[in-house]
Amino acid sequence: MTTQAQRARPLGPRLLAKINLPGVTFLIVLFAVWEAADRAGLIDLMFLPRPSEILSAGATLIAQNAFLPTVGHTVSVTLTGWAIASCSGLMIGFALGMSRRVWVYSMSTIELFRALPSVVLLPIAVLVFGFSVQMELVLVIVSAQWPVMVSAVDGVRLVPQGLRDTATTLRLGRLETARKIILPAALPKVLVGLRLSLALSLILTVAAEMLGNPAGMGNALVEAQEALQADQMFFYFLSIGLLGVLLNAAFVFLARLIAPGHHLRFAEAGS
Amino acid sequence: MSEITVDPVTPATDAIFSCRNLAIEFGHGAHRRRILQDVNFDVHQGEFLALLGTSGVGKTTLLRILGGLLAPSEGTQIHFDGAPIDGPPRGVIMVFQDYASSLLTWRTVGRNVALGIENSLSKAEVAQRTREVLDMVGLGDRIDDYPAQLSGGMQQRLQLARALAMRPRVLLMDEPFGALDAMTKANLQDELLRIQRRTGTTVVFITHDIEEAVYVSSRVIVLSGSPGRILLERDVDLPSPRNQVTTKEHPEYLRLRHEIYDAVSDHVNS
Repeated sequence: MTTQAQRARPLGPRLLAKINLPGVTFLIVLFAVWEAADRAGLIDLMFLPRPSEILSAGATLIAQNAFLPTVGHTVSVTLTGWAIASCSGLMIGFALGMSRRVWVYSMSTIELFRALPSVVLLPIAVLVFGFSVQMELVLVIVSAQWPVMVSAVDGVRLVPQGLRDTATTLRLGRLETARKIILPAALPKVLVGLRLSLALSLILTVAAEMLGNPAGMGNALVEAQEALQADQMFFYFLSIGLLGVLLNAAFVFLARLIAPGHHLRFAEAGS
Repeated sequence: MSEITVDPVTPATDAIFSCRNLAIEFGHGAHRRRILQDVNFDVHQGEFLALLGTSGVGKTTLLRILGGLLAPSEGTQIHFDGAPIDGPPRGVIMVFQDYASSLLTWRTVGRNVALGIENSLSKAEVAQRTREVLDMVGLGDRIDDYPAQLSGGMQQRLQLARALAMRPRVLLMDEPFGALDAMTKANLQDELLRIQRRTGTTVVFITHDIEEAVYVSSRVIVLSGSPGRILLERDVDLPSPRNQVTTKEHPEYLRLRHEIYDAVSDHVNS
């Protein structure tokens, strides 16, 4: 087992060791080819800037203190919405998974609302809450709670019969069984749901900013496009992608810290 | 030796378990099927009872009824210590065939053993009892490992240790060694017999292996047919402690093996 050895090493080298060097190299080469092809005149599109132009536009935005506030807004809405969606999704999901009656009564309602594409909610949210942060949050919360809820329901319902029989034969009480057997056994599935919800939260935050609330990175991207600032637009485009990667990496890192034993394998499979 | 040693009507008073007219059905409507019928037997203090039968005959179902995990059909009289069974009886612990899915993979070996006792005993008592039963099954040095770090045989030892930590009066074992290779199986049979001699625990042991049934038990009950009934019941008078070589060369072992084999194949072919 490598876990003990990994724990003994300091954090910095451990994070460096996790970076996929060949993969990152390939990405850099791809950008270099793009740059070279543009300079050699092989690509001639009016609104496709070179990577170097995108980077210098980004440097200017950062120097003008225009970039970081948009990141702060998008990150805080994403994380707040995700946290609230996770709490409500987990509570509803566990209740549905553990009680047959709750499940039977609420399935039709859940199936209907889950089938709605998230974007359909956007005009409704704008109408009810106006162009505000509340509107962004509501959109994120309503949509991002589904993966958590579904994974919590599945996690609870798919606990192996052997574990349930074990709880019975060892005479564990109902609460003790839920706390010591059902919830830990459901944790790997729940972590997958939380991770999907986090990605979905960022997507919906950016969408709400592009089409609704005039704030954050999504709005900045649209404004750059409307001002025909292609280099700035691409800078926001790439930054949003990078933000998604970082949020996911942070989640996997935290999941490893809280989930011992076999749950480690979940994080390894995904990174 | 008589064919049926229990009176099919009166519950025994001196037995730990007493089953009369045991029957059970599964399914609904047209798919309803009787799994067991007219099963009458007792389990006595300190004995090692093997329940033998082909797969699908209802052995596991019978064991789950004894363990209080399944309710039998109406009309069944099943008693533990003279009282009707309603849920898992106190002091009766099951050991399942599928050890992998009955261990808590997120708990260490020691914390798996503690699962059944950590609520009722003090920390010091839990630690002491955990060490005691892990030593008993030969896992004393693996207390801080996770189940995934153990071999299949060790995982089954761990499940046995977790059951022993409850200080059970009766162990109900559902083909506990069925998924293990022959050498591991032989080792675990001998260790189980040693532990049983030391603790005096009553064991009800399910197997589909005639040789295993005769080797480990002091009494064999053979189930057969559909719905399953008791086909044969035999006391096993073999010297103890058993030995993988000499016991299996003993004339009585060979005779019982022969007799049970004939009875089972006659019944299947008829």
